[in-house]
Amino acid sequence: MITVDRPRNCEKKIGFETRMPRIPLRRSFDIIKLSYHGCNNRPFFHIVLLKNISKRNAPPIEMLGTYDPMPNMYNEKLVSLDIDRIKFHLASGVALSKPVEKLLGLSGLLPVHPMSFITAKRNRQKLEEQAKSQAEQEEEGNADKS
Amino acid sequence: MFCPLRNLIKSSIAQRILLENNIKKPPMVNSVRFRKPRWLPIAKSKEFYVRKPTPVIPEEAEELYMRYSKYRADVASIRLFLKEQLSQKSVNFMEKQGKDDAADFKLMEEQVKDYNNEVAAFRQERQKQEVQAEQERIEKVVQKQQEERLKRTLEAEKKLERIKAASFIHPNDLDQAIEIMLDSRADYNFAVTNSGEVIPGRICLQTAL
Repeated sequence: MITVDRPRNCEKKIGFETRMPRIPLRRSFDIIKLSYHGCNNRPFFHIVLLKNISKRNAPPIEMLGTYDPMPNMYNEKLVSLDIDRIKFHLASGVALSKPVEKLLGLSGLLPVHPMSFITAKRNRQKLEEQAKSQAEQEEEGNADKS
Repeated sequence: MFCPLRNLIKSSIAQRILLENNIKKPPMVNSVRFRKPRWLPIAKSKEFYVRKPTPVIPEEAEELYMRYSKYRADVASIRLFLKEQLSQKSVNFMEKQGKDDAADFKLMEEQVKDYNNEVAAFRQERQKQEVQAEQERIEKVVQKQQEERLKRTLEAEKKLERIKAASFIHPNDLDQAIEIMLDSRADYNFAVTNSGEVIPGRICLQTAL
């Protein structure tokens, strides 16, 4: 990893050596993000309000919902959101992580995230290709039979 | 030590920053390693390793750029709208709460007044009773004291009468008393020796001893 900074103190000279450059402190702000609460091969996320500096599964400032990324027997990925509180936090200028932005876009609170358009496009392309290849295979099979 | 990767990255970042910010001074570039100490050299197998950049499809990138700019503007406007809504809500809430508070205060005042009146009536009755009881007590005490005083005066009078009867000299018997007094004069002008003899003084009355 590489961080870039322009500290003011770095040019102070101690004897003939320059001072060791310092890593600047990270700016802290509140953010709504996902925290992992599943186990092996069974992901499950809580949607929580946390400081950006705090650990992923730190005790949250506020819990705002859950997200189950594994489709259930009806092929649904279940999301629960505390919309009122999320609205409040949005109004008070809390940041959102990218996955949360995507979820909120799909849920209809925010506009659909640009990246989800792209992924949808890619998935569509993949499906088309699969369909094409299947059709070709079928044609080949028919030709062999005849 | 020659390290192409680090130099490459350093130079690229420095260039970018220079271009972006148009600064004359070169920026400080600090490589951070979390697992290994910073003085250890790069592993030999990774010495000339350069990560392959993630492939970017130009069409997609363009689309993303356009969409992102719109998305960000939309989200910002939504945030602003929500903020306004929230502030309005809070203002409405404050107004409503103010009204509610005033009504509540009025109701409470009335309730307190009623309660005070009720309690005052009760208290006045009680105080009346207390005053009456106190007066009765005082009367009793006074009566008792008077009785005692009467009793004492009676006793004193009785005693006085008794004493009067026993020893007081009546004006009618004055001469007789004086005579008796004169007859019963005592002379103490004498001395007593160790052996108990009484030696009378020079002038000795007959009545002495």
